[in-house]
Amino acid sequence: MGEGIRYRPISVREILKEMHDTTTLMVDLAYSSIIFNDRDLAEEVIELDEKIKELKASLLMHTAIVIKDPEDAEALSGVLQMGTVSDSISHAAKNVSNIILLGLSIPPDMLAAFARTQERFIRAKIASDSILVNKTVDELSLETSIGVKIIAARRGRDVIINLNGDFTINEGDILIAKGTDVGVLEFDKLAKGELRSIPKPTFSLEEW
Amino acid sequence: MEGNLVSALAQLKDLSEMMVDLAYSSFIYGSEEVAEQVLKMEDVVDTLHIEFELELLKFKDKFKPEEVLGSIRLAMAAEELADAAARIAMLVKRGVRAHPIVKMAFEEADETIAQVRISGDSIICGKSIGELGLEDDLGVRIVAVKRGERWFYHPQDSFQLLCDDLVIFRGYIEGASKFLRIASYKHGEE
Repeated sequence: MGEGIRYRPISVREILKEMHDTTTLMVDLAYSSIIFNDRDLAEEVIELDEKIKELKASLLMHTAIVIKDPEDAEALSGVLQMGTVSDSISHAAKNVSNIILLGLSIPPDMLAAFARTQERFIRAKIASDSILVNKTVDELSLETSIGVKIIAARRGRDVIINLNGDFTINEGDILIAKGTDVGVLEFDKLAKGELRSIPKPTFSLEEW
Repeated sequence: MEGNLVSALAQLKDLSEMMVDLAYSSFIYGSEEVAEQVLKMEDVVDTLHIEFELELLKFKDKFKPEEVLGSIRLAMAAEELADAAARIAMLVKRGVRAHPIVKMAFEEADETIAQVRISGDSIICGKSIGELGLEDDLGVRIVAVKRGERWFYHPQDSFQLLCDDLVIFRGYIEGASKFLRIASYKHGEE
């Protein structure tokens, strides 16, 4: 048996949290892929579905280990159901993304009806000459300057859904970010190295 | 007509996403009233879905074939989301309660979903969402408000929150817990 399936009491909680965060992101990315006709985002959704499959498998293993009697089984049935529901949500998100990937589309009038409230997501690969390289998320504070939040990263085979502020960006990282229409395009240019400095904010945020 | 088509698809999308939020929230807090609402919304989605498909077929010549198929699939995916939400709601109705582990997982989630009943002592009573700067300053987005037997979805900035409203919202940990604290504040309690 591999090391990844060793039982740790904290794991089930972490698995559930990851499942929830991942499926929430998938639904957002899937709709964003349709609205902004972005194949890259659609592909990310398909890749994230793999992560959900892995998480579901480890959720099963972890709960199986804990269940000793009918009482445990009852208490944990809700946990297992959440795993199944996450899988369905992931499946629905995948179906949305497939619309773009299969070359289908949504009539522009219909898209316009739900584009209004939508934040835009983007997936960008960090080029070697990007000024983001070797900076932490906090250090960059892109939220206050260009209104963009970096939410997830792919590094090699790892997918990190909830990035900490101390995450240091490396060359080759694939980052997923969200923000305003203008902001995410600026972010894309920063990642590609086409934009050499972070634009200044056009307004200041007030403390609540 | 075509206008109906546009709004039906937008509604399907909005309703299904909202249902997922409400369903999670009902499960975490074991609240049957929210679960009940999710199931009612599921009926609305079912009806809307069929109406949308029939209407689309009626006007199919106005669209490209790939647009007709694309919208049918989008509506189906929304329905699939709604079904997943309804399954969670059914669990709650059948008395399945979230294991404490589930609640902890959600409390730790980056963007969390939560619900709060606004306390009579809270300064929030009578203030509008815009006035409170919920979205801009706290990053809190209200999904739905239940007032008495009425539900308000995605209330606008001008919407006034009242004492005793049940508020279901999304937000990042810091802002969300700040909102929770202020909304549930009771005199003489720490």
